[in-house]
Amino acid sequence: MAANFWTSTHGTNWLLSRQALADCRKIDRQYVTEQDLIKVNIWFAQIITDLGRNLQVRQVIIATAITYFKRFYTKNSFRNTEPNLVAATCMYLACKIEESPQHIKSIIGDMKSIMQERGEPFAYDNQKVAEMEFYLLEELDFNMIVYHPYRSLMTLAQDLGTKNEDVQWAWYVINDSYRTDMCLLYPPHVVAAAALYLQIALRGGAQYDGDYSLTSSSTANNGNAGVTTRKRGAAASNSNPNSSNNETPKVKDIRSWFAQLNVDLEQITDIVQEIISLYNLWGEEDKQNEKIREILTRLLK
Amino acid sequence: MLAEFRTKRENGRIRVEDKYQVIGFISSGTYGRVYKARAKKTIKSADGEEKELIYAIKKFKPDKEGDTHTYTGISQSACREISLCRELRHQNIISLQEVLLEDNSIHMVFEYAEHDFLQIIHHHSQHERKPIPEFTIKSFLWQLLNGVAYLHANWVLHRDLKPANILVTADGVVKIGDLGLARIYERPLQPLFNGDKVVVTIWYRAPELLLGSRHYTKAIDIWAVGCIFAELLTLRPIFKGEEAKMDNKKNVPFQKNQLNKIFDVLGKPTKDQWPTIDQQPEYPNLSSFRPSSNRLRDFYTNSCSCKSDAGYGLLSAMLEYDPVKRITAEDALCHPYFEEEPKPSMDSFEGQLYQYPLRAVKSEDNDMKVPPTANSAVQGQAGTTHGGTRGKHGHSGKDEGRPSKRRSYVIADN
Repeated sequence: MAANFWTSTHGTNWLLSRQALADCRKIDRQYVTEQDLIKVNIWFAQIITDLGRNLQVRQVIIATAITYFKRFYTKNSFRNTEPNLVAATCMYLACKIEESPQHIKSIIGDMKSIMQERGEPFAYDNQKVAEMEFYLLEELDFNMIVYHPYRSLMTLAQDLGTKNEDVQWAWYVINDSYRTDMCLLYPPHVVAAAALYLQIALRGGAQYDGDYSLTSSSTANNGNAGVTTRKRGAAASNSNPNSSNNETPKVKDIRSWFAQLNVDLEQITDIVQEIISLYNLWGEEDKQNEKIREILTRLLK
Repeated sequence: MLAEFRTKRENGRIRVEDKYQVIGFISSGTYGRVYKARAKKTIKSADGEEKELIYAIKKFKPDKEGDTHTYTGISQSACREISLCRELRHQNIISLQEVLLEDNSIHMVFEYAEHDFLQIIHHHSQHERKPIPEFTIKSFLWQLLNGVAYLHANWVLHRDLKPANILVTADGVVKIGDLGLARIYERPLQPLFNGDKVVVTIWYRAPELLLGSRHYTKAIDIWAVGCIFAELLTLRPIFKGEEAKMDNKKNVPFQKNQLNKIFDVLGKPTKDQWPTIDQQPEYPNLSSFRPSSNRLRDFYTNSCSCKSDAGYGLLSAMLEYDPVKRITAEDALCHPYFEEEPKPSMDSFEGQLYQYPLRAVKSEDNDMKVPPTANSAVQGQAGTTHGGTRGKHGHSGKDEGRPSKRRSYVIADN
């Protein structure tokens, strides 16, 4: 398990096809569009991320909590549930599973302040979160150990000789991928490879030999704007795509490196495109966002 | 909205009593209680006979916090055990059939194991009054190491290996149980020490833990296996110390008595044997111990039923002071001891003419419903006449003053 993704419950039970995922969302789609649903997912991923930041937990815990949330909504429609309660409960459980338990009262307290910033109450107590935890466990089929791309990223980056700041950048891309459905669709090491690819494609592959486009380069150009215009802290804003690395020796032939990874290049392209369209769609988000409020009203009735 | 969801969930829920009939109660601990149960559905075996399937159901008490009695969700320990059991699959690890939720309680349904090491050790020391056959000991040890090697290959530390937690099926297959303290240790988010201040029952606790090591490794499980091996050979705990209790401020006390018991047999460790010993937090406390010499060889020759040199070699390799030099489970499996006759087998009871007493099952119970037609009188006969219930899945804390390790989980301040 911990040593082998493919025999884990994550690898055997929780990788869905796009079709299967679409089927899971049929009920929600009666009320909102596909695009709206993407925005809803970004919205709740942000809530969980903010909750994690308030609690000062590590990124992996945030990623686990978001994965639980997404798994939960492959078994339920938003309509008959209370996603804010589900979100808080996912964080509560993720902290326990990642061996950094948080007091249930801290979870509730921080969730209250986060929702307050968004102009919403969070009117649940211990009892409600604890009750929800039971339901969550059942919906997860008690599969609680989740794999993330971070570890693969470190391994791949080391093999490739990627510089630290570039690894950091790819790390942020992985964080962002949790706003999409990637964690339900692809094995974590493929997401890691895609993040690394995106880093190379967008921020200069000068340090590497060879042509680094896997398919067409149009997506990459297209996305460049998306990434750099977003205010994403140190990673994206500090660095000019081409400035990085005159001094670095050419490391590896990048195309053959990806080829020997033994991952499906089509999947990588798919993930890259998904992340780029995330950047195009996201960005405008705002805590008082009227649009999302209107979507949520329709979705949750 | 929640009401609608709740109704949908509750209606879809399978109740424990729909699927299982409780035969009786096996043991209890701080976590809750363990029951023996049969599945209501029988299966047909190859020769067309109806076969009953027996399980052990571990029912957790709801986690109540302090005296406020507000329910705060599932315990860290249940969380670990369920999440790990869901992922692990190995012949020598107890297998989790399913988990059912009912009345705010978690029910873990495990495969049933008729015996455990502690029960077998007691049977030999109290009733047979002769040692466990070498073939059985070797098979037990090999299978135990086989399970531990699997855990370690998957980056899981057990952290509470002791005879009561090592189960054996009626077919002589060893099953490591009680993963309530187990955890994944690959790149932990926090040092292991920050989570649980105290791990492993005192008699089986490795010297680096006793010396306050903050970062420990899978070697702590191997030390425990070494202690268990010695106990199988002599029918007595090898290092039977007394635990110094934690004070009110939750400071972890120095375990002088336990270290003394270890030094009595293995000698006081030197910097030669264990080069980093002076980096252990409790190292300054060692100055009060007088130097002593290693008499494990004498102990083995005089007290152990087995006379094999290779057996001694393996025992001393597992009871190596320096955790870095201590043998790994993987290497232990290939140790010459297992190449010698009698060779170990996956049926530890192969060729054995007698049967160990069955696990005691009690019928009196006020928690889960036990049918009034209690067949437990028949079920538990062998066990009950020999007295005493024993901890299935561990924690027979009350049993003859055996210590147990209940977690004192400290929520990290961050």
